[in-house]
Amino acid sequence: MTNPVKEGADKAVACRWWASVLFSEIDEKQLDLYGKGELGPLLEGLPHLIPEEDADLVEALRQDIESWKKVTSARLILATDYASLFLGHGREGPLPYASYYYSEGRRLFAKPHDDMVERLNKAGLQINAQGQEPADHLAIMVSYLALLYEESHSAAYIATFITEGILSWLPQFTKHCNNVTTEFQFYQLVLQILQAFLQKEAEEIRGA
Amino acid sequence: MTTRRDLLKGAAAGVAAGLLGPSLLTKTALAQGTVEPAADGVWKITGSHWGAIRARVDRGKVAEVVPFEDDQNPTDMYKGIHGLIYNPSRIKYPMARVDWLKNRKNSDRTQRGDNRFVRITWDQALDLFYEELERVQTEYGPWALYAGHTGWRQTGQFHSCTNHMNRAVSMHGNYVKKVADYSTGAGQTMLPYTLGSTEVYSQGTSWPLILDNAKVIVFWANDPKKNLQVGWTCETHGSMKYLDELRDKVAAGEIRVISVDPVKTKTANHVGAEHLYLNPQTDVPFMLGIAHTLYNEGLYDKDFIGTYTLGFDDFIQYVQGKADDGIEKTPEWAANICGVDADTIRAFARLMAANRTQLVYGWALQRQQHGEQPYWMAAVLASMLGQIGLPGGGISYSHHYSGVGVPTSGAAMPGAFPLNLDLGMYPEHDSENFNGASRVIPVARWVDCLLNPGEQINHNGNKVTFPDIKMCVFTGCNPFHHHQDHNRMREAFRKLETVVTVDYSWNATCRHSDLVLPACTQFERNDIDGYGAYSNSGVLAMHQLVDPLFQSKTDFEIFTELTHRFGRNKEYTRDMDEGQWLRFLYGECKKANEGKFDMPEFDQFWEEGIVRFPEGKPWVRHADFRKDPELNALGTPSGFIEITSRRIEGYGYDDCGPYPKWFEKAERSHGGPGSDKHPLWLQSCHPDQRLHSQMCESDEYRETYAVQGREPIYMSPEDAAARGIADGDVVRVFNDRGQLLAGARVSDNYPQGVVRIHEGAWYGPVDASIGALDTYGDPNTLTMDVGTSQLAQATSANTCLVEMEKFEGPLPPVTSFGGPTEV
Repeated sequence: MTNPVKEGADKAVACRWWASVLFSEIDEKQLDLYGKGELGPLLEGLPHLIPEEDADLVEALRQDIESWKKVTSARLILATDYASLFLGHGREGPLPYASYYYSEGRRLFAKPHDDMVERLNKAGLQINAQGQEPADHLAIMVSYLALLYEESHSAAYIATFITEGILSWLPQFTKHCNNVTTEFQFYQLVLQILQAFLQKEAEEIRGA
Repeated sequence: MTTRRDLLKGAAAGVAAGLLGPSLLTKTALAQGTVEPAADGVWKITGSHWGAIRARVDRGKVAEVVPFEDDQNPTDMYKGIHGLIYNPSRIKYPMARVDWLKNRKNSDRTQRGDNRFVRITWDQALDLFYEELERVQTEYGPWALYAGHTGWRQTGQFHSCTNHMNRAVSMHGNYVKKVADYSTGAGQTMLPYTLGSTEVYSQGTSWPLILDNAKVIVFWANDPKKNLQVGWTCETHGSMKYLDELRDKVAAGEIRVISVDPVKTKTANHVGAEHLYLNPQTDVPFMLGIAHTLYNEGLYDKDFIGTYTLGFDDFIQYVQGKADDGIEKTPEWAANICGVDADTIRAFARLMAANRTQLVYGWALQRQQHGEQPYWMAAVLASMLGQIGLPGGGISYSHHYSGVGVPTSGAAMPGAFPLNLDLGMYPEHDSENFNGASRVIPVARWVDCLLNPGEQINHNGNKVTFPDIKMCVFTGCNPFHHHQDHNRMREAFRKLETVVTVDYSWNATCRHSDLVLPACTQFERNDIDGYGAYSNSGVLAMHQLVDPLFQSKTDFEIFTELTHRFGRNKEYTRDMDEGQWLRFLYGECKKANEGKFDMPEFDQFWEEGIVRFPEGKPWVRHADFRKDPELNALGTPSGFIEITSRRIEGYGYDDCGPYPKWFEKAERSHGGPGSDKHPLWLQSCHPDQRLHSQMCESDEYRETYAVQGREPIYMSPEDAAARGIADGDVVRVFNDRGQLLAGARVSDNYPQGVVRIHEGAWYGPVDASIGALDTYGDPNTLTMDVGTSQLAQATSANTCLVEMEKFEGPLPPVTSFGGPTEV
């Protein structure tokens, strides 16, 4: 049985990486770091955070990152993939907001947004102004989860947040993204690994 | 042995900080757990094309929208405003089409509409915008830039996007502009020759005088109950009560209302009108039959014709079959074309001549091939009836528009941010060399221009030579809604090197652009507006409800930053910010009303939200002309009503002669040309639940009228049954120009052979191919892109035949709402 609180720092690191990847495009410096294998330690650790049967996702991710070296404009391709998945397909495409998958008219800034704002307020947190994204953006939710691990919040609270806050809609978003054609599969793999992690976390905490 | 825990520790220690980035969250100054108590928020007031609203804003979000209490007949459409603000289709960031970003003017343009986009910063976006303006002016010249294509911007006098774009781009250089519009192109060109003004945008006789004096009111292709829901500025809905009074008078037998229309309209149903059906596009033969009756039965007003008009004799020779085609325009002749029997035509003529009759025409009539003719002919009929200038008589072309008919208060309304350069200002690139081409083109021929640069056409007595346009700038305007024949239009877009669009929601025009800049909605900025476009009922404060969402900006900010790139931002803004501009515009309005209408100081106005002006005195259109036609001459060449126009005759056009005539259409249903192949007439009139295309993206509201997620197509029970179509089915509607999916609505209001899809349905083809199936139901996928005639060169959207069938295959998802997508 894994104790999420003990391993909180490690999970926090993974969550911070997910948040970073999901919040904005990979820049030249980051591309360089990926090229130098700087994600290696996390790629080594990720299989242990997800169910064994999903471990091949991490290998696929590693290979995808490796394939970036074969093209000359990887940053632009990745930015294009990012835009296709996170920046504006609207009704028939994916959007990384909980409200989009919750409200009947698929309005943004709906109840999941308000719930997230309340969580942040209670924790005395505010969103950094850059990007002006609403609180129910997946990256902001995962960033909040990172803080929960770092600050050793109760397992029950973490499990409730994961289940009600994120897993209530993430599978729909991931599925939505899997249906979009992109040049690389990086973002779809990142989402699938995140989803596998959260599902395992929720199950383990409930079982503890 | 390495444990699992060691591995994870390694991960934590080893990942470069650069891959983790800074935390997206920071601690606030408030202590942890300190939460501001929930409040109900604050109420603010603002306006819109759909009317004034009050909105409850709670913790930075619009929580509730209700109609302004002065509005006694609010439209249902205010319910779509929340969904418009918080729409997933909002443009969130500046975006560039990827291939254009890489290759700029040499990009693969066949990808337009089917190409992926990438986020760029505002600085990058505005640098690119400026670089492209600069490149086009220096590499080509002013003839290569088209920036005057504008539409129904969001309301608000200061932030009016049309003005901001025109002023800013004008500061950089000259460019090709447009004349006329898609609503009234034929009417506004024709009527100055006949009645001396455009008429279509003129105040009309006040409703109280019509209701007190008219015995017969004819709504001719006119549906005010539907169209008065929206207004050019903030709509008051002040005219709706008069339609209710009219309903009561009809019920009491005091007024007869006759709706001349292929379709039984919303207005006809509301007021209990008698429905006089005629075949689509055959109004002119019907009118000629009426004129024949009035003349030959001696029912026309000879004195009026003699005193106030010119050219009747030439016209009546045509009616009598003694000129031109030699055919006598008897009611029997007309009946064969228009489907109204000869006796009914005669009876209708006699009824109008025997009573005080108010003719009220809609705009759909002139949005067809030869659309000049029915408007001209209508003026001739009104002249023969001799009631022009009398209360409750005469002719109107505008009572369905923006509250026309509500008496004008007489108060001055606030001015706007200037559209043009100030006196003494010149563009950075001041070349006036248009390379031999015209600097102004008739708007509806814009796609002809893109496809046929260098071609010369006739237009309103002049020659227009099409410039070779390389770059377009659009703001608050969606040509992929309002222009005809989208497949032809897509071909034209492939000729453009650069397209820049400023908007707040991803529509088809954005998807066919290279650079897309996110403007905020009008609910995210402060502004002021006139309350009532014609009634001048007040001045309305438009409080900003919420901050601009995502990275959207006001048009003022966008174009200030653009002009900053060539050092003209201070001139552009006159060195004033939003707050200073609002005070300035209000102050000027207050000055203009001094001594006539009291207005408080700005701060009090802003706090109270509105300044109300008393209703003005009832007024009769053309009464002054009737009183003294020489002193109050019309703006026609002669000063009189010109039944025959020597000026138009002098143009020598074969599709618009010296007097109104019947011209067969390129396509006409009910036995007309093309009806053997595509038997259904498609009318694409203004929608009942949108303002043109505005609010189509508001999902929950759209679901109140959509059918299986598609735009409704209204049809008769007979046409549905003949094709095995049931109400609620999805149907494929097609002709040789295109195909679309729509949702069947079967209704007794529609006669056999007539279908309707409201214009403004957002275009969403399944892919980028020419001819691709439109997934939502934009009627302009099917309409014909030809000019009305050489006179107006206006839109002919209502000359359109289609066929339809029940759609049996797997339904493709609607692609209209949302951002760029590679299919």
